[in-house]
Amino acid sequence: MGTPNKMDELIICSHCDLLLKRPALNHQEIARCPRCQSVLRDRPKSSLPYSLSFSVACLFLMACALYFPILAIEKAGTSHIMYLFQASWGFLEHGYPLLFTIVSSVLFVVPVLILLILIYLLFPMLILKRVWPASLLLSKVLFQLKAWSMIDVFLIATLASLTKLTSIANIEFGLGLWAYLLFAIFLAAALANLNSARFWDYLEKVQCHCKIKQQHHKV
Amino acid sequence: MPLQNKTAASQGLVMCTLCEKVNQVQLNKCQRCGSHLYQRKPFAIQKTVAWLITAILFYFPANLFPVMETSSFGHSTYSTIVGGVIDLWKHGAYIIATVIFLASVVIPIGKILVLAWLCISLRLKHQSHFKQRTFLYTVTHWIGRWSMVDVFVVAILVALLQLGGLMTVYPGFGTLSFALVVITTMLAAESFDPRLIWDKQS
Repeated sequence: MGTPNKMDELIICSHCDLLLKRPALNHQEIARCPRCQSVLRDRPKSSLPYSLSFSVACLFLMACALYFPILAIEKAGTSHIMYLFQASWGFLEHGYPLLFTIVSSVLFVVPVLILLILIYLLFPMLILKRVWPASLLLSKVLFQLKAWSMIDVFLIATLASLTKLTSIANIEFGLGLWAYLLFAIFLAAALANLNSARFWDYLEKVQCHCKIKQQHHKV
Repeated sequence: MPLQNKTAASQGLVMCTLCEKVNQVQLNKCQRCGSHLYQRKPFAIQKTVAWLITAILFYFPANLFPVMETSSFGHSTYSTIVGGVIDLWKHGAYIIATVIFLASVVIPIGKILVLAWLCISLRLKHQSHFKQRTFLYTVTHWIGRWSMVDVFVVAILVALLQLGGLMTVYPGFGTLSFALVVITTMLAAESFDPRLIWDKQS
């Protein structure tokens, strides 16, 4: 134990530090730690290519969700249309810049960054079989940002506020709301298919291939 | 396939917390991603307790101050988190009332209690309920972001209900405090290291 080659055959449980042999998993199988029962490794049906395609779709849907109004309200002749970006803008207008920063980070900045980084990393890795500059740094950023996207939470909040609102006034759903709904589902799918163990293994493999190719060119 | 129930620490190995690669403990940086390697997260308990205290401090204004102000025909009403839940329940929106109650009352308090107990149990060197404590931590870590529901509901109401004198909604200080409670409890869960539960303290 301890030599670099043998170390690739090992994994460590992130919850209890137990040393284990790397399990061989079939599709949709999950390996759990025998000591603390937390998930060690999982294997979604088709991991990284799905993640890439969902991310591309997400970018288009997010553009639609931002461009079209998501909700419209009408009461006694007065009406108001709401766009997605206004969800955080209202806080800034009413004197809560910190709240504006928090909400726009978890709703717009983080998800968009995640999507852009995912495409920047996965497109060359999967299709061109090479890596673009700063991939390592961006991968690290990606896995740290992952927990801070709250698009799915906002979806539940939309449903909650709709039931609150329908008793007060007439509510109309805009095209943006449907785009947003799909966006939330697709982003969840993109992240669910982003298996961190597979991603890092694959990144390492592609980097290795690139180095070998370069050496061949030099010879 | 356990290797005689050995821990990585006992074999001089350490897992990179970011990319999950197995590294030798002598190395300072992960060989794959270059992140700093730590046998255990540094000052895990201290950091968790510090974030928890911050969260508790913000929790009081979050419940005492109104989360929003509804002004209709020149008449203003203020609603707090719990007041909003009671209102929803009275209007017969039982499912939504339950969701909001869980997300903004049960989950934040539960998270603070669970993390505080985990820290205390490590301090007292409890040698039992390893699996249960790990499970509680996993759930706490996963569920944290869902508390943000109430903040987003206020965000939507503020953005949508702008009908001039007829009905206008303004955000309140309670919303800001509550958002900070959610963020600080998430950071508290992030700072904690569940591997400490399993380290035999002798």
